[in-house]
Amino acid sequence: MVKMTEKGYNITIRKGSLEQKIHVSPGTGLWPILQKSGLQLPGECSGNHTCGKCRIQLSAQGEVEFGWGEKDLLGEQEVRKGTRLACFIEVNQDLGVTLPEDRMANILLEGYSQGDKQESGLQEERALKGKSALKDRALGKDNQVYGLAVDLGTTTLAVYLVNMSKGTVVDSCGSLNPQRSYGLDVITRIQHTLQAPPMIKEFQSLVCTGLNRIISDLAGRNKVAMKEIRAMTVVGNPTMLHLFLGISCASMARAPFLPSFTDSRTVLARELGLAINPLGRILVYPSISGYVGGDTLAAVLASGMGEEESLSLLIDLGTNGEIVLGNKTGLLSCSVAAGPAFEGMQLSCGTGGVEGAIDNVNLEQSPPYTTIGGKTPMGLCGSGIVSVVAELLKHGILEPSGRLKKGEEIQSFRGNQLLDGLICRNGQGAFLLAEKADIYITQKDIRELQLAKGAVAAGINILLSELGVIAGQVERVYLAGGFGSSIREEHLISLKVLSTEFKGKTKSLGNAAGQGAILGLCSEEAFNKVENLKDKTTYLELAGLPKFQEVFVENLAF
Amino acid sequence: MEILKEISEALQNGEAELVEAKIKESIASRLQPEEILIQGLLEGMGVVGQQFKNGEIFVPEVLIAARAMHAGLSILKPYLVETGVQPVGKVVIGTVKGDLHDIGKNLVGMMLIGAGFELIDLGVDVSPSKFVEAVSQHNPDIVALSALLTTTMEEQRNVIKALEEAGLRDKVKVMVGGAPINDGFARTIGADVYSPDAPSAAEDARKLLN
Repeated sequence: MVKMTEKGYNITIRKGSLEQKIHVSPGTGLWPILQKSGLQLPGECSGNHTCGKCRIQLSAQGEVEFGWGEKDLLGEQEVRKGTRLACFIEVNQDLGVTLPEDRMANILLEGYSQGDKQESGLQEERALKGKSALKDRALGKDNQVYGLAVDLGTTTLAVYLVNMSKGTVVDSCGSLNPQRSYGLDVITRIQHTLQAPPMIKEFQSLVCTGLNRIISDLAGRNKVAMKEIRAMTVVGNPTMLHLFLGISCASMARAPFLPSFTDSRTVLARELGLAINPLGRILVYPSISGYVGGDTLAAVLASGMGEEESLSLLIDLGTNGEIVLGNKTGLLSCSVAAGPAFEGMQLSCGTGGVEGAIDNVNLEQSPPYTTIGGKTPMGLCGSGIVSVVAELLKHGILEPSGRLKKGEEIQSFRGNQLLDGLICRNGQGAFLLAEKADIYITQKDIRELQLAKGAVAAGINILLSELGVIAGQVERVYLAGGFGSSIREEHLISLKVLSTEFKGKTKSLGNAAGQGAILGLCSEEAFNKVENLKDKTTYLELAGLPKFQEVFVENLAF
Repeated sequence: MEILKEISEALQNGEAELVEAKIKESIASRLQPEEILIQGLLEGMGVVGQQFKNGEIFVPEVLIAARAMHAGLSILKPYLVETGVQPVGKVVIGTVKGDLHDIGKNLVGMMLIGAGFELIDLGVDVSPSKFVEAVSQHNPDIVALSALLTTTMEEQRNVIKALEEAGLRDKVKVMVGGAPINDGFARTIGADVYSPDAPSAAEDARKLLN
């Protein structure tokens, strides 16, 4: 028998000004090819044909058939534009593939201000100049010691370049977490590692590659040689820390959600292939439980609440939500499934914090919104959604139960001026914010937000009750993460996420986890405080509490 | 019947005491218990289900209405038994092993009772063997499985396998639901139907009986 040599095909992938040419065997799926190319492609379902986001433009000589369900996921408009979904395509001829360019993500890096001499600022400066074993070991011949403080978020990676000798943050940079194409949330990523254990290494590799790109950027633009970077602290939620170290998260995926480890860990840069001095030490912060991690402890450190007599509350809502209540005597923590809605995800016109996202709404102005970067509106992000709901409540267009009123029911003057905004979309009531861009919020979107805010409010209430205190006794409410810095206190109170007793008590910490990572990088004393905080923080598993459902339901209304 | 409409409306508004009072009145007026059940209570829950589905009302309202329904059913039950009224079917429901989420399951349970089913609720974190045991013991028409995490949805497959191994798979219909679940997954694991929300689950359950 004559052996037929396998014919292969040429694929040219373009993204912006970047181009890659590869040769592949017939029948290879396009999605895995694009994943391997390293050019980031949107998508959250790991190519499982459910999210409809891996959109590309295709050019081919012959016809490329649509996959079953592809057109439905794309929608008429996109199909007409010629858009295709990469996950449905198999290579059976030469192809030209164009990927959409990335939108600039509004990654939260602020939170540390070098020149900030107020209360905590002064404390941090002192801390940064403190003694540090990390720093001692890292001392280079020119006495300039550089280190990195890294915040591994489920959605974004944030890195701070720190001059450890001077105790100053030189620069910072962030990017989206490349693990996202395999799932937006930790559970989905854990699921992948359960179905295919080699995925643990893949996730580890993805995050380290992502970090290396950022490190290379930071080092390059600050003229610091990679080998001068000799230390790194890493904070993140437990799943991110497990995957970073290549450790199995199997037990975190099901009740009672136990992590494989919670203690702090130290590894050498070369063990993880990180692009800093190979002998540089990577210090991974400790965690509290399967769902309250080093990032929360770092945020608590940055807030200083673990050293104060007065009672404080810390809320860190990123992709997952952690809440901590306490003071120097002790702390209680819990984790809530709040994520998607507050971040603008899974909503009709929801989007992340990118350019063009509507981030604030004021129905008394025209246009009634502002967008990130001042660009043309393309969606609603978390703070935008919270503000539009607050405004709809204020003008009597939305009932406190969460029901959108019909035109004839609206009584307020301003409400009646806004009647044109009440429309029908997807078979239900909705409110239109931007007509040309067709951006609206539906009744179901509002219900999604209620579920999210019910969970957070319930978490806060249960912690207060378990500690035997009332809201009025809390002196400070620290808001950490992207949520805290972009969502206004007045809106959180309008939506009853926070009770009115917290009015005037909130303080936005920005990227508190990042700040905490910086503190521990420069000062041993600061890092020891983190270890101490871990010892005096108790975790409360809400899922097991019989009263959770009742408190949750009680907190659904606005 | 005007009074049956009143029962339905009182239920929709979650007025438990009014529901109880009106049912007692209907019994005294010699209305058939079955009629009171179907045109009073189940009619009311049907409306609640539709309104919940289109977002007009939400979880708290459904829970309050369900409470009123339960109050009504306790009054009506002895009369239903006396006149030999049977539930339309029997369902065993539970959240699978490793998963503690139960609000969704509870809402489905309420809708099923509101559609005339008898419900056996096994709770949360239920192992495949416990489901099998419940099926042997209660002989339900339907087994309904809830899972809220992508990591626990595989357990739905394990329950179906366990039913097969026990030779019980063809004696019941299997319904699945939960946030990460979809039609494709239901088909892959051999379930009979996937329901996207509680009111749909009640409708799907009625269809499965035919």
